[in-house]
Amino acid sequence: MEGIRTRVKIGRVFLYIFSYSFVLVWLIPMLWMVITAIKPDGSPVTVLSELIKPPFTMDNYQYVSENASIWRWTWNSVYIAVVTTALTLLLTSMAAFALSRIPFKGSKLVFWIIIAGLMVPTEATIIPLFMMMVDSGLINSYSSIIFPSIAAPLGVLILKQFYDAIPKELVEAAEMDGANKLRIWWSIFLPLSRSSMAALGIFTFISSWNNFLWPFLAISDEKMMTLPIGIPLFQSGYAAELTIPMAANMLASLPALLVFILFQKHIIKGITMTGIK
Amino acid sequence: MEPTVPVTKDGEEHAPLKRKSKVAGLLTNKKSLSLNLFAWLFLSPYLLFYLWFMLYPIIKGFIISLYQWTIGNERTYVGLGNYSAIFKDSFFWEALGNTVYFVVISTPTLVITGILLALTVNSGLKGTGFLRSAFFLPHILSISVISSIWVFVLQPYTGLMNSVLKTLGVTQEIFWLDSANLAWLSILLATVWWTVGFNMVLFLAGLQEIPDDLYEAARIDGANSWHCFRYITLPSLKGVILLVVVLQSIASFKLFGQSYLMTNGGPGTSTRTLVQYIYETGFRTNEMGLASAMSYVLFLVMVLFAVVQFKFMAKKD
Amino acid sequence: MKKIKLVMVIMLFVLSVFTGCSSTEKTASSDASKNESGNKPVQLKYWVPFSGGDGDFMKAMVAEFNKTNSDIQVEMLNLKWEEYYTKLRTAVASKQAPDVAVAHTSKLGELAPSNLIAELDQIAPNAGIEWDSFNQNILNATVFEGKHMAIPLDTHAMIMFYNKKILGDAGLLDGDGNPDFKPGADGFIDFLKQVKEKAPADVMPFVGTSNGNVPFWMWWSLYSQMDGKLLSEDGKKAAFNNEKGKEALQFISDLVHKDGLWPKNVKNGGEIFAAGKGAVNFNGVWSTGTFEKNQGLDFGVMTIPQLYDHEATWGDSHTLVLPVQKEDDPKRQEAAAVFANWLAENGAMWAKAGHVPSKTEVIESEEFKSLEYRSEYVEVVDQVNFMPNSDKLFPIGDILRANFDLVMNGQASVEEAINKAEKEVNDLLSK
Repeated sequence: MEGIRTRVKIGRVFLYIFSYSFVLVWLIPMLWMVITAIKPDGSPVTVLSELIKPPFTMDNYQYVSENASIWRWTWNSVYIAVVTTALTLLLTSMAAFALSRIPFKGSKLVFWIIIAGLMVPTEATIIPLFMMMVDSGLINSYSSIIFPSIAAPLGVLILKQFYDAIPKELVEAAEMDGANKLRIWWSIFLPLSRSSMAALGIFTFISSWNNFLWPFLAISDEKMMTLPIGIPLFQSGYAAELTIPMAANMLASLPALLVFILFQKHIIKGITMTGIK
Repeated sequence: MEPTVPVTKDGEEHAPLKRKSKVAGLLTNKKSLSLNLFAWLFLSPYLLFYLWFMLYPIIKGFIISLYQWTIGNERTYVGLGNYSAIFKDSFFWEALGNTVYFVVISTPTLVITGILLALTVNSGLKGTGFLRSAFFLPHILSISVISSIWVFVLQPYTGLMNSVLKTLGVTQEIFWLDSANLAWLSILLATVWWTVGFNMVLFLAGLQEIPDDLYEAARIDGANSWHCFRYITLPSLKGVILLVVVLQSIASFKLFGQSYLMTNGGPGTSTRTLVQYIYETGFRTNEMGLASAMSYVLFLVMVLFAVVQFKFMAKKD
Repeated sequence: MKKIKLVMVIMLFVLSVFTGCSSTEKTASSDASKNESGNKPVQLKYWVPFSGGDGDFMKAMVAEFNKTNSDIQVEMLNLKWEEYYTKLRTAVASKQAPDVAVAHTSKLGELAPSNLIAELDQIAPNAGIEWDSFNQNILNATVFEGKHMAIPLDTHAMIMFYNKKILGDAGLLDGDGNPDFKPGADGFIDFLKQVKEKAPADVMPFVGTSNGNVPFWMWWSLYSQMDGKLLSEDGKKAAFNNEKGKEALQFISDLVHKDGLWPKNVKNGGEIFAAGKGAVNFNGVWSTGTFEKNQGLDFGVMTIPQLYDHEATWGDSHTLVLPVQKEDDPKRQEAAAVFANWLAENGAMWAKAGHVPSKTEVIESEEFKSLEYRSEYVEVVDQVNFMPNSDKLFPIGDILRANFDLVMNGQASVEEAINKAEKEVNDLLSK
């Protein structure tokens, strides 16, 4: 018995050593970014002993904020992500409610048409989307980025599943009190689905924040660019320098890092609930 | 499935909609009309976007693929000419091959790494929350930042990776992004770092659903850790694993950002993926019709892949 | 419960803002400061593809122009070279084109016939452009079907930079301070081998970015020294799959693989040379300005050595074009042409980067002559063998670059690469 316990203990110690050294290695690229961003240009950034000792400087940050439209790009990214999330939540929740709780002709057909959209990757429609945006004059606008994201059917599916599980007694009770459908949606379904909505919202926000291919095609005006599009453009002028691009990376990551620190529990819970990339 | 019986205010029972009698039909006509109206009112805002930006592009994409069509909107009808041109285009096959190659190397890697990380986080060490956050953290960074970091890490002569390897005694300069195999390895490495946290979270949720008594019972029977993993953990995770495999292979099929930003499809064209080739055909060489046809092929291949996977899974179950 | 409602209300608020968002851009630009005469200045968007040190010089020029011209204000966007023309074309097609943009002469053959850029004959007189004042050779390359399609800005060529200190310490400079090597390919190789032997171990005898343009331009320079042709007379077939084409590529390949004089997979050759870690660097004249900014670097320049029959090198020319707009606005076009002409007239400023100005009077000016090396570059331009005019020239370049990259990193032999490139170019041209 003693022997087994020691073995378990030794195993534990090994697990600790392994896990924590691995997580350290895992974080190295990120730590490297953090430190390099505050090193003066031209300092040796691959030697550990040189890295952690001064001089440190904020010049790189200053340079980036003066020479790149980084604040504008951040604003664009935030704006697009917030509006996309808000619209997605609102519209998919309404649609899911109708499909789940209002019996009407063709309900099933509509649902299947929408669900079929899950099979369509955006990557496969970039060409027609681009042509449509050009023809409608929407290209290079916030709308050109936001609208296609809202069409994603995932939210309808998730919320409908949740709404289907809400006991019908609740609805009946409200209807007895004379509530109409709009009211039922607003004061019963919305509050009850808070956690699903939060999950969907977080998922939508992250995908919008990281959206690359479509904004890359649809935006050519520097003022309308999002961070994922603007950052590589800015960095291409500094191919051999390290400190300035890293400062740009840091600035581009700060809002996301902030959101992560504040909401990490929700984010992780949210992924578990939606389970979709 | 039996439809539920709606109950009105005054408690009068209606027959299910499909089987309603003529009389009842007349009685409920007004109501179903208003229900219809409500339903469409609720649906229409979403449907508008769905039809406009999801369904219509699919149809329009097919129409474009039948033409020789430039961005400047000049077009000539070529029927299925674009499709037959694709089949003769060696670059297309190469790009398709590259994409499939990435799916094949990335899916198992990301699934296995995801499970390993989830097991580590779930093993009851102190600081579980920290470990979980640390592994997940890269996922919230944007692909541009990820690629930029890795390009600098992997750079020859001045990169972090080679400097570290040098201090470890590797004298040879390694060119991570300049030979096809190493470039794929680098893209895979960056992708794992970026996205595996997501898979880990899904696996964690799966692990936490396994009841503890299963393990206790096994331990009483004298099972060791490996047995526990092999005969309890793995079978219980089956559902999650299948889900992650499907999600991951779809995501890998759409690879663009990492390879475009890290290697620009190089060296040569050896890491150019299908999405990048579609982009280049459509926008660089201005052949929207051809690119649209390629998009359709990509779409079909992905659907085919998904169907095969589902079939495969169904068999295993 | 209250929270979720609050969130919904905020969403609705955001929505109401959202409907008005597409107009924010216009209001922003109309806020721009008024100039002395009280008129709103014309705001121009200007696109350039300068990834290296050029970008900074152009930025300085734009700043100078904005300072001295109160009625025209230019906003410059520097795009990645690889994506530049793709973005430009899409921008024109989506009616979002910049007012003025840089285009290479070698690209005009594709831009002009596809109605992407405006012809300049009507605007030119109003904007004060005098076609006579340009170098006529360069100007002629910008004329299509008798119409002026672009305003030439400069010519640039590939030359050889060398580190005087490294070569001097190794005793490889002659009495005049020039690199001491015998003519011909073998002489040059011997010279580099001596560098490798005598210079410190961390110095690369030959350095250049190992993929993309540098091998391609180098190949074209050497191939041109043997009078090689890129395409057949009628421009419908590839004409480079021959002994000369292979020999030129073999020379480059041997530098890397056989003799180990050019280290593999160099990401940024210019930077390594600038840091004093390379003895010889083949690069564009535009690197001069960047190298000059590097105070520790003592470098010299010369033409690409004559390795074969006669001297020749790769070169191209930057021009300024007016992309086609949604609707013609003569006032804006004129302003754009004024700006473009100003850039050409102030070519001496641009020459600080290393380019050779397009206007003869600028080349004769004191300001230009006072710049070191630049007068020699004027002669280098005469050795340039410009690539043939073809609307497929850029896609052909893409094919050659991709295949040469495979040779550079050892994945394909010279023979394989040239054969494959020939097939791909022929496929492209037959489309």
